[in-house]
Amino acid sequence: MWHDGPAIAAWRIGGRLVVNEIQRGGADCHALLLAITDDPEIAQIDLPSGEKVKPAAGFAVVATMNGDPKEVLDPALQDRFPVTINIDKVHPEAIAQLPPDVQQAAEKTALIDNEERRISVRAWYAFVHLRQKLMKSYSEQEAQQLAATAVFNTRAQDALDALVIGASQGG
Amino acid sequence: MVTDRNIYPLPEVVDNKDRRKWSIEPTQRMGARVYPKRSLLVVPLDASPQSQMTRNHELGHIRWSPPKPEVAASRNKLDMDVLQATEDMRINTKLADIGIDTSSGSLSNNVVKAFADDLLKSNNVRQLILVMVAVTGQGENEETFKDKLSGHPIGDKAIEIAGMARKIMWYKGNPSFRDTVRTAKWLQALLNGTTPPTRVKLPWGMNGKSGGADDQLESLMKIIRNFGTGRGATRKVPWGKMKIDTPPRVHKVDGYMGKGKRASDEGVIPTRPHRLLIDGRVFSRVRRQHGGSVLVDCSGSMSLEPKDLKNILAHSPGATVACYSGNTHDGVLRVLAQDGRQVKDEFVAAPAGGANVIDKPALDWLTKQARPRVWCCDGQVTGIGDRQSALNTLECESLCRRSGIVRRDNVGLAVELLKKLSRSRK
Repeated sequence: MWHDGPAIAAWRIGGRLVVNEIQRGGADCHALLLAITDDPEIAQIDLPSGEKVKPAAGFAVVATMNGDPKEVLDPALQDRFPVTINIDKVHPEAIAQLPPDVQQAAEKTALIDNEERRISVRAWYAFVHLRQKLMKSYSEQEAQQLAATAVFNTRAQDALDALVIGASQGG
Repeated sequence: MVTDRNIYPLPEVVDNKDRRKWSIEPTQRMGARVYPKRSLLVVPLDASPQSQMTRNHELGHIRWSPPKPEVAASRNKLDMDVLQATEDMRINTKLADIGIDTSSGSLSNNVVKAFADDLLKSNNVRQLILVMVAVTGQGENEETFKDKLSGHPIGDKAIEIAGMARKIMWYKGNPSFRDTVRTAKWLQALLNGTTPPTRVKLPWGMNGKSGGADDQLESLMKIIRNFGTGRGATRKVPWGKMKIDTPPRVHKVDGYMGKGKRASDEGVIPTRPHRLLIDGRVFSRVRRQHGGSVLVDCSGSMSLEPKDLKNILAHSPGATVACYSGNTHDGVLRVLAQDGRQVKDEFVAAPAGGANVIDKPALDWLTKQARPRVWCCDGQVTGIGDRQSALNTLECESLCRRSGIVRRDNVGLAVELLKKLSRSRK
């Protein structure tokens, strides 16, 4: 028995399909996306049930990814997305949820290109939450050290020192 | 969870300028540096505490140092190595001040010991002082370096100078780059005075007084100790404007203090072989002639009377003799004798008020006169407003050393030297 997935469902109702982390999809997935994102006038899929489906008016696709699309995506698939928005800032609300002492660090380190050096906002969240929990049993300094070691591993001391230097008065 | 083999620092966190994309390259500890214009950080990436300290030191530069320190060096007429050593001291001490662990230092103790041995062996005063200043605030490295230097005559002084530099830097607390420049100017003035002296041809046994690096450093340290490490130590007083007064020199004077060489056909060591085929006068013979110059400080602190000046004039025949003194903002240098002729007695007196004010311009004038150059002054130099400063005093000391000027504290000592100079000339 055939069940509609999110793409066909969006086609039928003329809805918006959001493809998260598009660069992680395999070749089969990308081939299907080529068919889904074809021009509405000619796009058509024959379902295993024998039904022929066409996209309803208003259908749109939004895809998200990390990295440069030109380097990762097939040119034909890239061509299906006429508008590209480069987001080079962490969402302010995500940053605002962190304590002030790590906000700036999280914002800047999350945008580092080199994956080996990057520290994600999630890692900072993990550090902050762990620190808060540990502060119930340890002093602030000990809690900070333990949380940093658990989350940042060998870079713990560098991360903590950078926070202290970054918080100092410049000049 | 972050799991890196290389331990990368986080320059982005300490950088004031947004949107700058930093690159990091690995290096040895001694090769660590920052290229702010290229946003490049070159640091060791291993887990040792010394490498950790090195990374923090470079992060300190990113946070607190200006991107173009060479501009500040050029604007303030500072040698780059002096500014760099002083800035390193500021970064180290600031890191410790904000709570960063600097106890390990950035080098292993064996390297520091070998480095100190090498510097002591070469007896390079300038390098010793600069390295001592640069390692100040580097925890164990500083202590090891001090241990190696202590007991050595110049090493002890280098330790004392670095300690004073630190106090000058932290005089107001939390030093900025301005304080680095202020301290570097003080250090530069001191180091300028330790440059190897220009050899002056003085009577036998008298060169030693201005020759030894240790003696010279001690005399400079007396000056800086007097001024302390407060604000007055690093505030330079501008020099006053100098006017040169040349009254008519009506009296002819017999005698010569200078000396010169002329070609001769008799001698032991041929010094002019090119003359063999011209006139055969290949030897040199020393002869007496006009020459030498004497500058006398006539400020109030010298308590000179006309008879003292006449005494100097009497013992410097054929030499250029001048005296100077100043008012609040300017001063007059009067030429009393030149080319074997002297002025009338009525001009042999202090040419202006009882202040110094123009010591450095007067010394500049003396450097353009014939050797040997003698300066009769008690060493108390002042700038505009008759104010004193360590920088002004060190500037004069350094000029004397560079230009082969011999200073004598009072007329008695100056006359004694002039007598020996006259006697030693053939």
